[in-house]
This record gives sequence, C-alpha cells and structure tokens, in this order.
Amino acid sequence: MTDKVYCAGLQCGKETDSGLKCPICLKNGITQVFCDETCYKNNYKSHKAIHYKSDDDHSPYDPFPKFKYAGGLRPHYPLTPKREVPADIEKPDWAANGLPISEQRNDRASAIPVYKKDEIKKIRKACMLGREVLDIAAAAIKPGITTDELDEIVHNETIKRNSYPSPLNYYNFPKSLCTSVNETICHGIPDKTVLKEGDIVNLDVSLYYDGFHADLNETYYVGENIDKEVINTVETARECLKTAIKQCKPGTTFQCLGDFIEKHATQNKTSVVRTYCGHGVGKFFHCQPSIPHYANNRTPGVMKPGMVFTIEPMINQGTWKDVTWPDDWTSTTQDGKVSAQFEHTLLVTEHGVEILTARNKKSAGGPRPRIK
Amino acid sequence: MSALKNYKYNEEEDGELPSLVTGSESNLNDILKKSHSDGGNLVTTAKVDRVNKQNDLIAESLHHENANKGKKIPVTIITGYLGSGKSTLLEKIALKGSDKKIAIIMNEFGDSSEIEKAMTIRNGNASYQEWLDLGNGCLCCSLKNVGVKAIEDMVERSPGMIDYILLETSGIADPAPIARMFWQDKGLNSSVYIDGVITVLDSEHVIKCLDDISPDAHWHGEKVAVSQQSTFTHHEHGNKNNLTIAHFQIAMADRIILNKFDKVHQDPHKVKLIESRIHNINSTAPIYKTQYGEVSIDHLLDLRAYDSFDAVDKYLTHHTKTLHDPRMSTLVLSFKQLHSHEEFDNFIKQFLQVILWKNFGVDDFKLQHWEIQRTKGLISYKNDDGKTVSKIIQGVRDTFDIFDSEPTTSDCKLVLIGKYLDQKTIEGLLHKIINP
Repeated sequence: MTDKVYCAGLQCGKETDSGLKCPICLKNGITQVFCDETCYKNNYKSHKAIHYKSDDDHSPYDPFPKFKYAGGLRPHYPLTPKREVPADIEKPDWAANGLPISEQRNDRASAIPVYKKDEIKKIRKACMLGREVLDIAAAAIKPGITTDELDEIVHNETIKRNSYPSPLNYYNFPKSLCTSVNETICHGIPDKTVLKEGDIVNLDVSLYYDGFHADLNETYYVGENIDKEVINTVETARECLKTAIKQCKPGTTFQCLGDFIEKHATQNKTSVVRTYCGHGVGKFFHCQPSIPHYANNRTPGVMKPGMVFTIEPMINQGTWKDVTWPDDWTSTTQDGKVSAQFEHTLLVTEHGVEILTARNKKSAGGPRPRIK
Repeated sequence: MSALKNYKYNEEEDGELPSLVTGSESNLNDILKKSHSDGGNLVTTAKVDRVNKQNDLIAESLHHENANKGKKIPVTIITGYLGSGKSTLLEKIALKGSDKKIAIIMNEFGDSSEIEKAMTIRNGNASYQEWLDLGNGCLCCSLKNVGVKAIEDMVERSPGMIDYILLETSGIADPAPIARMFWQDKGLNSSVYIDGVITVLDSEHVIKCLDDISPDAHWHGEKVAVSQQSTFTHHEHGNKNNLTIAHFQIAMADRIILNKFDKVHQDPHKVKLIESRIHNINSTAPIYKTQYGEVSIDHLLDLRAYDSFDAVDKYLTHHTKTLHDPRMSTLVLSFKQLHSHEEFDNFIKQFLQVILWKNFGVDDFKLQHWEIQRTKGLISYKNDDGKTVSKIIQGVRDTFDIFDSEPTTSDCKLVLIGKYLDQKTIEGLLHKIINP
C-alpha cells in the first residue's frame, strides 16, 4: 500500500490521486503534489515561499527587500515545505484548508466554556505533552541553530505524541511553531534565520491531543552574553505572567489582570503590547475569554472553576506599539527594540488556579539575574 | 465568516506559471531545465508601500508621543433590510455632508469573502478609492477584528483625507457585533470610534417584517428569522418566540429612519401602530419619518451615542404596557442617587455584572433566557466627602464601560434593551442591591 497523498495547496489539502508535481520543486529534489492546475494557481503565492530566489543562488534571501524593517532582524527564505502529519493523528478542522470553521462558529455564541472533569483530564494531558515538546525544543537552542530546525524538532516531537501541532495551517500559517526572535513580539515564522549569541527567542508551542488544545510559550536566551536591558525585559515579562497568575481564583475579573501586569511592567521601565491578548483554550485553539494585558481594559467575565485560558503578556523594552511584516504574521515592535513573552495554560480550581503547563526541574531556560 | 488570504498566482508578479509535471515525461529533463526558481514577490509592491507608509506615520507619532495625536474619525453604522432605502440614505448623507470627506464602506462588512476590499471616499461629488488590507484573515489572540484593523490602518495612512466613515451593513446583519468591534477601549488607541447606529425601516413593510417569524422567513431571498437558542425549553409557544433580524436592528438603533413614509402617512392608525411597535422595542431612539431618505444630517451624524447619555434621556419615551412584547423590549430602571461609592461598587459587581455576564462566569441567572443587546445609563452617588459623582454606563451585549460625567443630582437611570427581559427579576435584583 502506498502512502496517502494530499494536495500541497495550503487552502486545499485534500487527499488526491493526482501525480502532478511542481516542476520547480522537482528540479530541486522536492516533491509537491497538487490536485490540478487550479489548485496550483490558487495557492501559488504561498507555495513559492519554498522556491529558491534563482537557479544559481540557493542562499537565503529576504522576500520583502523594499520593506522598511523596524530593527535588524530579517526573514530568511525559502521556507521548508509544509511538514506532514500522519493520517492517523486527529486533526483540527483547519488542517486541510486553513479555515477554523468550528472556532468561527463558536465565536458567535460568545460564552466562556466551563469544562467538566473528564474534559479537564484531557486538557491536562495535552498541556503535559505541550510542556514536554517545548522543553525538548528549548534544550536545543544554541547559537548556530535555525528557527526552522526548532520547528522541525517541535513538529516531530508533537506527532511522536500522537498530537497535531495547532499552528500548522491555522489561517494558513505555514509552520508548526511560532519562533519570535529579538524585536519580534509574536507569530514569527520559522525559517533559515540563524540564532546568534546574545539573541532572545520565544518558542510558542500549541498542540491538539484527543480533542483538546494546549498552548504555552517561553522566551529563551541564546548564549551567555546578553545585554542588560534585554535581560530586564525578559525577566520583567516572566514576572508579569507570575504576578497575573497570582490573582487567579474564582471571582477574579479577567479585566483586572491587565492592571497588575501593566503596573509591574511600568515599574521596570518596560511597556505592554496591546494588540494581542490571552484567550480561552481547550476545545478550541482560541475562544472566550479575551484577556488583554494592559490596564483599564473592559473585557467581560469573572473566573469560575472549570474555566481554562492563557495569560501571555508581551513586554517591550521600548514602545508598546507593534507593526506587522508583509507576511501578515510576524509582529515586531515599532522601534526595533526587543520584546519578550511568557505564556501558560491555566485552569481555575475551587480555591485558586492550576498551571497546567507548569515547568519542572528539568525544563530548559529559566530566569537569569538582572545586571545592575 | 472571515475568509482566507488570497494566494492566487499573478502573472505580472510571478511570471509565467510553469505547468505541473507527472515526473515520468520522456522529456522531463528538458522541462525541468526550462523551469526556473522564482522565489520572492510574495506580496505586491503596492502592499509593501502601504505598510511602509503606515509604519512611517507611526514612527512619526512616536517622536511626539505626548503631542496631539491625530483626531479620531467617527464611524456611523447604517443598517436595515434590503430595499429599505439604506443605499439612498447613504448617498444623501454623502452629498449633504459635502464639507466632510466621507469614506463609504459598502455591504457585507465583517462577513466578506473578499480579503482585499476597496472603499470609496466621497467629497461631495468627487470620489476616489482606497484599499483596505485585511491581512491574513486572522488576528488570532488579537483584540482587534481584521476589518476594523484594516479601516484603522487606512485612516492612519491617510491623515487629513477622511473626516467621517459610513459603514453600510448587509441587510441581514445583526449590528451588535459590528458595533462592538468599533467600540474599543482607550488602551487600544484606535484611530476611529463608533458614533452611532442608524436603522432604516421601510414604513410599508416594517410590521410585516417584524411579524414574520416563521423559521424560514425570508426577505428578498435572505433568511431573516432568528430562532431561539436550544436552551429555551418552553416549546409550547412554538415559533412565537422567534425574532427577526429587524428586531435586532431596531434594538441597536440610536436613530431610526422610517423611510418611504409617503406609503403610509394617510393611514394614521397604521402610523401609530408602527410607532408603538418600534418604541416597544427601543424607547430611546428618535424616529425620523422620511421619503427618499430626506433628513437633515445633523440628526444622524456626530451623535456620540457610545460615550454620552444626553441623547438617551432626551428621547426616552415610555411605551404603553398594553403593547409589551417581551421578545425584544426596552426596560427603564429609575432610582434615587446611590448613597456611597461602596453602593455604586455593589451596583456594578452584584447587579450589572450579574445581569450582563451570565455567559461569562456569573451564573446566578444562567437559566434565564434574556440577552441584553444594549445598556445605557447615568448613575450618581455621594462620594465619601459628600460630593456627587456621576458616571455614564454604556454597554453592547456583555461588554460595558463606565465613564465620568458632569455631576448631576437627578435620579439614576439605567436603560436595558434586549430580548426576553424579565422586568420583575431584574428589578427585584436591583432592589436587593441598592438601599431605598
């Protein structure tokens, strides 16, 4: 029996018996099958992200040379082809064509899910697996590794655990992990960017196991020689998450978390990103509640036992303002200064909160002392 | 449903599209020799230019962070069934407001299958188009809706080019989610704000539209019935509990245009009936009877309906109990000034949060079927030092906010517009919280 073949079009993804391949990829030893010319055409702009710049230049290139980048970071294309997920792994509805239909429908119901015991058990398991995957990838961070290599580790470790990497093809996001380097706030796309001594990188891992999503991220130092302002930003972000978690218990409003986060960020001369927020997670990758990290927001809702959500403050060294690269994903600070983020999936319990994605003794990374 | 980004091949940018191969062609080597790597050009130059321009302007604003930020642009949402005269009204406003540069965003906003959309900017008779860039269709973990972000981006890219935005929804749109998208808190630093919702009704057909609650009710081919949620257990009423999109459109209205009035003005009985049906649903929105959308734009624009209470109070009408239709109605709660800050705090936490957040962790009333579309209020209390403090409350569905107001000694007033409002339960709860 031959393996099932799926159309390489990010907006198709259907099983196909077509043998039609992209000739440019084939020439470079890559097999990318499309249902037909129409699928090829309709997905071409996303597909050609894996093409070299030219036949005789296989070096990484900047796909947006005219874009005025905020800082020193650049994308390094081509991307590697979409990584495959074995057919027997349960997939969320966007896996094939990118559209999270059930999530969009649920959005309209607008209520915070409250999970039952058996559901919580499954979410807890997914979160445990998510922690394992993140820790394995984090242990591999060192100067010289590319973000795509980190994506490969996360992808393989995720499917090894019978899970689907939630970011993969979510609204056509091309990879299984978000890697956000230095001035990147979030949603960085793993590519041929080489991490170097003094960088910071955030790995945002989400996976789908047995019908439930887990979501966690941490920011890691690359090497030993880190600028003191950068350490301050990373450590402040770590503390902001901790401070917010301390408030969580039945009866706490989601609104107030931003007040605590912004207070701590301001005390440490850093700022809070406003565009992106924490969210409900579990049966859906993203759902109610929305949890802004800035002060004086008006998000509705109070915590009650059985609610599961993330808190994921993004803390900037300079301005809180964000800009987005023309890839429509990578969000960076407007001034090019660094941004750091930490995220946990949390469960509200009868008397407090349980960190479902908590670190353990063996977890890579961890805090470093600030430099005076 | 939001759609996906357009990844279609574009000959101009991508060159000739190679033909797919099976790999077993006899002349495969020749074919491959002619297939050349073509990385780059993932997005158009125009798009990169737009992003650059916007980022330049943000950068500029960073240099004078404390200086006057560009003024915020009001957005008025115009809603109403197909054929009610929405487009005519829009056209009239654009012409009459010729001292304003008005951007018009047509139809199906927030429900678009097109990821890139043009919008028209009108200045009297002159007009031009601007692109709205809807990104990847997803702003996951983001507080901003993609469409709102696209509009903000466009406004920021065009300083001084736009004074006002009119947004026409599709005929079958419930305006509440759209209004809420534009009603953002200060922290999000939006370049636009929602000014108000105008609902256009066809005088001749409005009663019929409100009454046609069969599950397959249609208007010009579009489904308009809103069936009750499955949580509703009282099936004995059958379809009588259903609502139509028109109910939601009237509930959210800050102004109502009773258009094509010439068709009914000779029938005073019908006019009275129409007015009382509308008032029963929404007692706060003034009604303008028009023909061909002829009405002074002073009544429609610059209402500031989401950050004031003046207008509400001015137009508040009292509907007659006899007509009371619990499916969608206005409930007005009046009570004496609160005695302390603590009592005000209780009012927010033990009353307002309780009635508005029943799906958001406060489930004292989980089994009640009410759903509040709109909240408007003016609440005063005596501070610790004996001074009167007044607060404006505004809300859309579960989201509400509290603003400072000029102190007033008049009675407190809270207006709730929503479906299945149970006056007894809500009043009962209020009086448990506040001291007489």
